[in-house]
Amino acid sequence: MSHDMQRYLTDPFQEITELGEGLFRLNIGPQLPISGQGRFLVVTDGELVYDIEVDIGYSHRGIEKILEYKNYIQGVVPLERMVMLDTSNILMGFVRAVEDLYGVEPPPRAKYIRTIINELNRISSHLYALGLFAESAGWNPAVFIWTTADREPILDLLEMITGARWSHSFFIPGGVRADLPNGIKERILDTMDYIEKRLEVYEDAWIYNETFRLRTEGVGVLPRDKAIEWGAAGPSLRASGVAYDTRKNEPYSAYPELDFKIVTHTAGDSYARGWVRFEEMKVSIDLIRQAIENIPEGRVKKTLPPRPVKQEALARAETGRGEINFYIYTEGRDKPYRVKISPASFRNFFVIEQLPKIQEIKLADVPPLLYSFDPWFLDADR
Amino acid sequence: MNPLELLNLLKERFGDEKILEARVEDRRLFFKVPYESAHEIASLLREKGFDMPITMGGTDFPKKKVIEIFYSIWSSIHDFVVTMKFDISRDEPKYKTFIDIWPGVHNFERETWELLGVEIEGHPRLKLLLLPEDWSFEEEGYPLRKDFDPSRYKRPWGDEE
Amino acid sequence: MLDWIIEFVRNNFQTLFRITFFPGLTFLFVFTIFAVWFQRKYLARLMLRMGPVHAGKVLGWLQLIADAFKLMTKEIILPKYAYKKLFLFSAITLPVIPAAAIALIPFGPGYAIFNLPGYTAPLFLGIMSLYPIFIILMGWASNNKFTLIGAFRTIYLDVAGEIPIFLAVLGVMIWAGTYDLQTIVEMQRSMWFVIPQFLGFIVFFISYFAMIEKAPMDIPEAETELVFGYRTEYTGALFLDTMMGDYINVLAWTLLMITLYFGGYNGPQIFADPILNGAFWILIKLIILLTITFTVIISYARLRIDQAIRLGWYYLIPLALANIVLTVILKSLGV
Repeated sequence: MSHDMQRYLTDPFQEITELGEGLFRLNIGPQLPISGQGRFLVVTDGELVYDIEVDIGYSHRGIEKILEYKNYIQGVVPLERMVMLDTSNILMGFVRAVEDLYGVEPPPRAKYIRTIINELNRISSHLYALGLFAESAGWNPAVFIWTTADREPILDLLEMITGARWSHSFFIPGGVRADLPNGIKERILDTMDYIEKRLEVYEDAWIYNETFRLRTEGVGVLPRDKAIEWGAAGPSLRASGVAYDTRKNEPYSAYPELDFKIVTHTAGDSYARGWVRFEEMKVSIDLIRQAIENIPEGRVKKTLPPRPVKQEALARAETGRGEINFYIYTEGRDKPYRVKISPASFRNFFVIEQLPKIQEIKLADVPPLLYSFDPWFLDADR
Repeated sequence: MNPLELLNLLKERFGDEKILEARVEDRRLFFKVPYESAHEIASLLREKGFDMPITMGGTDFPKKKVIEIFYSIWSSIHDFVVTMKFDISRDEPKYKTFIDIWPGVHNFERETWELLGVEIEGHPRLKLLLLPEDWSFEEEGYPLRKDFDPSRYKRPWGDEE
Repeated sequence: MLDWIIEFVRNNFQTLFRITFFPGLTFLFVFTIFAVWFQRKYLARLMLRMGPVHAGKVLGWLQLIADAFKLMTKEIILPKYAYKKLFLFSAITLPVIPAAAIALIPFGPGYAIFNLPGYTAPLFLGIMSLYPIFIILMGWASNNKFTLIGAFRTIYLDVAGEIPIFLAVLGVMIWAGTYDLQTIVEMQRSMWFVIPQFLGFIVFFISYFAMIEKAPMDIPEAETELVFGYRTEYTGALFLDTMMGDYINVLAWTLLMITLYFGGYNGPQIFADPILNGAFWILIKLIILLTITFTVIISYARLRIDQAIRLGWYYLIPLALANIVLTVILKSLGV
C-alpha cells in the first residue's frame, strides 16, 4: 500500500484545516444530499463564499467515443443515456445533425409528432427541475414530490405514444418510429388541462411564496453581457434578458408553423431562472395544444439515402436545460468519424464557477444558486 | 450581417489564401484558416460581435498527421454561428489558448486538452475534468484520438468471462 | 432493605409517578415517538404520499419504534479527531435540558413534577437557554467543518430568536403580574392570554421556530448545504439521543406556549378528576399546536441566517418591546 493510500485510510475526511486567514474548503458532494453526481469545492469562511470549483466527470461514459463505433440508428440508444429525463430533446440535436448530413427533410406529420414529444418532455424536465430548485432552497420535499407526481400523467402519455416512459428511442434520422396511437388527442388535451390546473396551484403555493422569493431573489445575479460571454445556455440565458431560443432562432420540427413567444426575464437572478422555467411550461402546454390541433396526415418516416451529401454539420436544439449542439464530421461511412456534443449543463457549470467572482454569495445560497441553473451532471459528463 | 457578408469581409481583410474551404449555409459559416493567423481572425470576429462560444473541440486525423481544432461562435447581434477551424501538427500538438478572446471556451479547452492530448499554452487551469483522477496519459493515452483502443475497458457481459 | 424501598415508594408515590410516568420519562419517550410518527404521517399526507404503512399494520404505528431499535443496534462511531469526552457528554446531556424544563410545566392544578412556588417562568427560560450551548459543544467537539458551521449558525440563530422570545414571555409576566407558571395558568380560567397578549404571541410564535430549529428556521441543520448540521457525525444510539433532544425541545417550547397563551390545562369539564381533565386538555392542545407547527414547516422555504437575524432584530424585538409598552399602559389604566 502506498504512502498516500495509507494516509487516506486513516484520515478519510479532512479535519478542520485552514487555507490561511480562516478560510475552509468545504467538500460538497458527491454523496451529500443535494450535490447530485458531482462535487463542489467551496472555499468559505463559514458563511461567505469566495470560490466555487465544480468537479464533474463522476459519470463520464465516453458517449462521443461510443458514437464513433455505432451507426446513426444505433447511436440513438447510448446517446439517450445523457439525460434520462429529457431524452427526446437531447436526441433532437443528433437527429437534426444527421438529417443535415444526409440532406433529408422529415415528413410533416413526423415533424408535428416530434414537436409534441419534445414539448411533453420539456414539461416533465422543467417540473423535475423546479421541484429540485424548491428543495434546494430548504423546502421540505413537498414541492419536489408534488412535481414528481405531476410528471406521471405526462410519462403515461409518452408511454402510450412511444412505448416507454423515458428513454423512448423514438426519433430516428428521417422521422419517427411510429405514428400516434388512436385516441391520443383527447388524452393529451385532458392531461394538458390537468397540468395547467396544477401550475396554478404551484403559482399560489410556491412561485409567489414569500420565503422562497426571499431566498432566491438577488442571489447569483448573472448580468446580460457576462451571460453571453461565459456561454450560459437555455433558461439561464433567457433570465438574463437575452431573447434567444433555438426553437425560435433556428426553427426546426413544427416550431416555425406554431405561434409562441420566447419567455425572458431581465433580473438574471436565481428566482428569474426558476420563473422562466415556470412560464416556459405554460408556453409548452400551448404549443402542444396547437400542434395536436393542426397535425397533418401522411407518412411519419423516410429512409436515409446511402451516402451523406455533406462532410460536416453543426446542429442545435433546445433541451429543457438549454441549447445542445452536435458537431458531426463524417468520411462518408455509415458511422460518424467524430461527434462533438456540447450540452447545456457543461456550459452552465462554467458560469456557476465564475459567479462568486463578481458578487457576494453566502454558503446557504450555494444550493439554490446551483439548482436555479438546473445542472445535470450526466449531461455535462457525457 | 449574414454569413455570406461575413465571409466576404474576412476575405477582403485577410485575402483568399487565408480563408480556406469556406462553406456558407443557412445560419452557418464554416471556414479554415492557417494556425498563424487564427488569433488575428478570432479577434476580428470578437470585434464584429461574435461573442458566445457554443462549442469547441478537435478531430484527430492520423493519416494526415494533423489534429483539426474548431471553434464555433454564436453572435448575439447577428444571430448565426461561425465555425473557424485550423490544423495543428499531430506529433507536437500545441497551440495558444483563445481564452482571452472568448472566456467561455475555458472548459471546452480543458476537455480538448485531456481527451485529445492537445497542449494549450496559456490556459490557466489544465486539470483533469472528465477523466478519473488516476488516469495516466502515458499508459492509457488520449480517449478521443483514433489510435485509442477502447476494447481494453470492455467488461464481460453476464456469464462471459 | 426491601421494606425500606416499599416504604419510600409508598411515601413518595406521587412524586415518583410524576417523574417516571406522567409527565416524566415515559411520557416524554412515548410522546417523542408519537410526535415523530405524527410528523412523518401528517407531512406525508401533505406531500401526497402515504408515509409509513408496513410496520404495525394500522397506519404504520410501529415504524418509529422499529426505527428506534434499529438505531440502537447500530455501531457508534467516534470520529478520530473528535474531542471524544465532550462529543459523548454533550450528546447524552442534550435531551436532559428540555426534559428538566418540562418538569416545571403544570399539567393539572398543582400537578407538575416540581411544584416550585415563585419564579418558574424565568427558571424555565434559564434552563432552556442552556440547550443551544450543548448544540454548540456538539458541533465543535465533532471536529468537522459541516458541524462547526452548523454550530456557528446556532449561535447566530440564538441571538436572533432567544431575545424576542424572552421579551414576549416578559410581556405575559407583566400582564399576569406573576413569575409563576401555575398562577399564570390559573389566571387564564376566564380568558386565554393570547387575546390581551396578541402582539407578544406573534413574536413568540415566530421566534418559536428559531428555538425549535425547524423549517423555516432549521438553519443550523440545513441539509442542503450542511448534510445534517451539528449532528452530522453522530451515529446509532447517539443519533437517536440527539433526535430525542430535538423533539423534547419542540415539546418543551410548545408546552410553554400552551401554558402562557392557551390556558394551559384549563378546559371544559370532561373527567371528574381535575388532574386527568387538565392532562387531557393539555394533550389536545399540544396535538393541535403541533399540527399547526408541522403545517408551517412544510409551507415555507428555509431562511438564510442573515435574513433570520434581520427578522429577529428589525421586526421581532421592536414588536416585543411595543408589546411590553402596551401591556404596561393597559395595566396602569387598570384594564
